[in-house]
Amino acid sequence: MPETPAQKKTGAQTILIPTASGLYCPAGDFYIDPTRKVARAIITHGHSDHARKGHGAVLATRATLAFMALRYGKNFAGTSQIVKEGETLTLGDAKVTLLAAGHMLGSVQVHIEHQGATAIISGDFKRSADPTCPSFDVRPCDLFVAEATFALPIYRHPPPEGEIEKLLLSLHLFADRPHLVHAYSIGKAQRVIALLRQAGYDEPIHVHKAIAEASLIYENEGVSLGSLETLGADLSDPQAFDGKIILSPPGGVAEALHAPVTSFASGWMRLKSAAKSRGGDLPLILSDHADWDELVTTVKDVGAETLWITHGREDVLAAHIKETLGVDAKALSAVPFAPEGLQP
Amino acid sequence: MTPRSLAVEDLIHQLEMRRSTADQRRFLAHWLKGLPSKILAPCLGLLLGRPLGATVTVPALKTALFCRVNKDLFDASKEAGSDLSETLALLWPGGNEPLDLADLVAAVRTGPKDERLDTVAALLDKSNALARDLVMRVSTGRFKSPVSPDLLRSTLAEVFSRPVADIEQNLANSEETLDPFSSWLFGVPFPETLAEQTGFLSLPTIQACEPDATGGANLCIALPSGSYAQLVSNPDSCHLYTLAGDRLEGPENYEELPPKTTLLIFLPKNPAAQPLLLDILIKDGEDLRNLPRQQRLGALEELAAAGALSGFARTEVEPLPAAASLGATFDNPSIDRLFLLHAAGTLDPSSDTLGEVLRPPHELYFKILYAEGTLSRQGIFAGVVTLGAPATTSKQGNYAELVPVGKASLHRLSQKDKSTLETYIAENTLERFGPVRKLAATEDTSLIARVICRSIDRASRRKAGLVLKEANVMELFDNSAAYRVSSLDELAPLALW
Ligand SMILES: [Zn+2]
Ligand SMILES: [Zn+2]
Repeated sequence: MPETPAQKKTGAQTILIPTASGLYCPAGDFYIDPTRKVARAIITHGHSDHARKGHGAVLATRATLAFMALRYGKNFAGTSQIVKEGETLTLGDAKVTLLAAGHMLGSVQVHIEHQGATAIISGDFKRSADPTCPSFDVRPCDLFVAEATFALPIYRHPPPEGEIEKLLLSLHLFADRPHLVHAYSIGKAQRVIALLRQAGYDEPIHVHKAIAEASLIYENEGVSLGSLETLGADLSDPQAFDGKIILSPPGGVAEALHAPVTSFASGWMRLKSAAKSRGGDLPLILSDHADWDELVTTVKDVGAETLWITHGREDVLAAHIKETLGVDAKALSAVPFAPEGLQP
Repeated sequence: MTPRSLAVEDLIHQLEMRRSTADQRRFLAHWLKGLPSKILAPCLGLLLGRPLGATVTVPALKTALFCRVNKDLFDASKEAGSDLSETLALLWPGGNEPLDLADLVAAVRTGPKDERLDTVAALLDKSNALARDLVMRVSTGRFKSPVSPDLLRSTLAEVFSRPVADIEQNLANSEETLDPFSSWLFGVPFPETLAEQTGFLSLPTIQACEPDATGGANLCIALPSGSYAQLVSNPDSCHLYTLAGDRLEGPENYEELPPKTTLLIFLPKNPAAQPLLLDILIKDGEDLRNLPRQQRLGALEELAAAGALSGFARTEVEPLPAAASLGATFDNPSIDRLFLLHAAGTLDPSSDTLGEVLRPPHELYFKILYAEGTLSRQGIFAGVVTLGAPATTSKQGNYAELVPVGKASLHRLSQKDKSTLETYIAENTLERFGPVRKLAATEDTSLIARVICRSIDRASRRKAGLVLKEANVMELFDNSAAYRVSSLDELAPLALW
């Protein structure tokens, strides 16, 4: 007997249950990006707010597992298993497929199918092109759980090429000074490097040790980043870095550099107030998270009947989506937690 | 990889983000160099804090926004944005285009009053986010210039090689609209045809362009006599642009120009453009290209001697200026006698001549008597110095009698020389009068300045009887380098009487 839409909707909403440890899939008995130690976890990508150590068994892409090993050491989990993007696994009663999320190398959405209903957990994602990872794979679903860091309509990222041009222009005008670009060491830093290479910049780029280590994983995964030089301890040679780009995680390089032009690459740099207080001389609006327009487009694209939103101003996005698309949208925090006893 | 020129909204953004004036100066200079004269006036108006006048109100813009975006989104966002203009700008759907400031000026200044909101809204609809923010701020009268008028004036002086005093005076005379200032700065009558608009001289008579054996290009200009000569750009003062349809592109490496390209040659009045006539390729219809170069140079010399190169002053230059760069281009050490042809003045695109003739610059050596200016944040002295010369050429000493001969700008000095000068000033200041420091300038003081000046004028009221015009300190030398300081005796014959 075919399911009625109402049944299907209910079906999709039972695929996932918010719990104190994070989103739980009872049909497959696993968590997605759990915040506490659990028996079985699917990890969407290597950032530390998603990939934590100490789980019993971990499923993730090869790159994500490599980032976890880099951060936490080899024994970051009891066991780990590589899943390829697009590959479908059967976990308990659920069919699970990891789909490219376009956020960083190895980042995926988790597509879960159970009794004819589908749910997708976006994980961190973006829609704009990124030379370091495959772009967001659009699949239809009934329930879409969207990460929405920039869920305010003022957050609209400019094209990344333009931001890189700003950096190159500054390098041209201030060839007598080092250019210290602050970017997170996994993901953002490599994207900045790849964008620079795309723009034709082929000079060696000086990188903080943490970035150098993560970049090796990129090279191993076939993402070429050109010539990188790891920063040593001594940065005080006043001329050595003039006219060079130095990439470092925020706080990674002290004031040792001589008169650097400082820059911070982040989506938050969209607002002048943030750019003035944190952006240094050269704020670059470069984000690996969907902006407002991408969020709205993506919800449209996946065609979900139900939308749960995490991060950002969930209320604003939920209200807008409800009104314009007629989707049942709410903040994930407003979805009732699992009843006692259902969680393992 | 040459970075593109800066759009005005990017410039404003960079100026607002950079805290140091020295940084701002570099952005301004870069921007001014790539700026078509057409939009110089409105841009300068903005930067000088001459607001266009509030022409639309914030409530009106809000109403227009709410036709495009749900009001709830504005309410949710207004706390998060940096300011109201930014919030409105980011919420406005917009496009990707850079701001055409001329459009904005036309919209807010000249358009019919009741249509202004619509025009501004249409501009917002197509503009990128930074441009929208600027449109919001300008059209509602909320824009404040991120740079001081002083910085702007001195940067204009630097980029266009004009004395700051002239810049100031011409700005002061252009109260109403800055168009006269712009025309003065670019030295051509203000807009009509593209050639005039951009302040470039159109030379549609260029006949051919093909690589020669040395890798240089034979770029031919029709000279008044119906002969053709080869032109080499002087990278300091002459840039070559191409005109493709109605688009101005460049500066380009002329070696890559296709034949029959119409060239526009940017000839700033000051310092004079210095096209070098290196060669003659066709004379009176006769193709000389197969002749030995020596013979061609002879033919060029004849033309010059006969006055056929009207509009050019002829100077034999020895040693060759910029020999290094010419060598790199032509790789021909046999070229040892060349004609440095100076041409400048009011450019008339319809005429074949390049206008008023200027003399070649003087290269002279002086001691520094006074320094006037301030130390920048980087500790680099920014300002002018007063140069001193002894009355007569002396073997040694007698520097107590150094007579001031004029001021010179420091903007051509290298960073290294600037810091040398700064140390020197700190160690040799005798007295201070406000920003002016009197420096010890005797036989003991070590610094000698190499100065290039455009001309030396007679000045009967000055002790020296003459004054340097448009002087730039190019380099600083240690006394021990045995450069002889120029004396008044030597300068006097150079002065234009
Ligand atoms: Zn992430
Ligand atoms: Zn995250």
